[in-house]
Amino acid sequence: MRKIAVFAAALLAVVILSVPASAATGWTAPKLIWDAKYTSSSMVADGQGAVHMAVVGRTGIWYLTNKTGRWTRVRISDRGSDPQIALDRSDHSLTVVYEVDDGECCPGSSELSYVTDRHPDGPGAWSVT
Amino acid sequence: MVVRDGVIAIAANVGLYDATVVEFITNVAGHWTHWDISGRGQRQAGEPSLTLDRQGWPIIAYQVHGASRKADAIRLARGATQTGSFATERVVAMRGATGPSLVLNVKGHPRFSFDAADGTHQAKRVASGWRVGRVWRAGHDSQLRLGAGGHARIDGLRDAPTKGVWFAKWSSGNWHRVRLDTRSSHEVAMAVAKGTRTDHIAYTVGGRVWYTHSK
Repeated sequence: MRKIAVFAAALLAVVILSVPASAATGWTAPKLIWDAKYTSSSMVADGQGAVHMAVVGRTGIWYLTNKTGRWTRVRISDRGSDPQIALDRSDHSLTVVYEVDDGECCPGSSELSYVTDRHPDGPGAWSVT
Repeated sequence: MVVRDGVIAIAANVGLYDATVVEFITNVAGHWTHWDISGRGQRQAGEPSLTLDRQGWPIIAYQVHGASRKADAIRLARGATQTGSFATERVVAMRGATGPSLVLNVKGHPRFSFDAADGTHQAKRVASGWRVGRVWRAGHDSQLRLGAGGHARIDGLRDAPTKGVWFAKWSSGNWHRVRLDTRSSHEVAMAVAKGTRTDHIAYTVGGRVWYTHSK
């Protein structure tokens, strides 16, 4: 009986987390853009209305965008936390700064790293610096 | 974090052994340098929000926790990286003041949202000084953006007045609030594209990322 109750509760939680709310007046209905565990999202929008996001996933920092008309993602770092994304309006490049646990000094110690798509091969190829 | 003409500017919360301070970090002139903004004497500073003025000089809003919540404050620092100096002023002294989100309006004057014990507020620079007004009597993690024409938008009125993701827009002399989702989210990001009227908001529910935008 207890197992059934636990299963029912888990099923209910899944249903609640999967069902979007109805759209608010003047807004589109919320859309699930990636079904995975993400946290710490940071967002910018460009002049064409495309959205660029940096989020923390289970396996690192991910970049999400809808610039092609559908949502795509690419992993830009295999570790890190607390990403911040910014758009350089002079050359339309994107930069993501994030924290990486130092691990060498002391607990909680971290350093800042960044990646950019300002790359010799052209935009869209992320390079870690 | 702001990137302009390839130069990265960051306002960071730096933890020391016995204090947290705010630093400004940039790679101007090709190498990384950093400035102490809040001062080592200010032992509990943090949550910085950075923007650059038209000349490219940094402006940073940050919180300072007092000995008691009554003494909490939001300070604003203006810097000139050529001289390495920052001038700071206390803009808000309010119980529980935290988490400023800073922008410049179309005239280049700073304004920021922040959370306090009695709700979500906005502070803006006016000719006579600073004007502070309450947006709503509850909410957490507010973020301020300016849309086309410089009209303010605030999201992060989390669970206020009832559970969910809320968005507030200043229009016709009042804040108008709308609930975007009935589910609670602790991770909300907002963006407004320059020159457009569209507000974009992404938020996580149970770790999944949801997205909506204004029509």
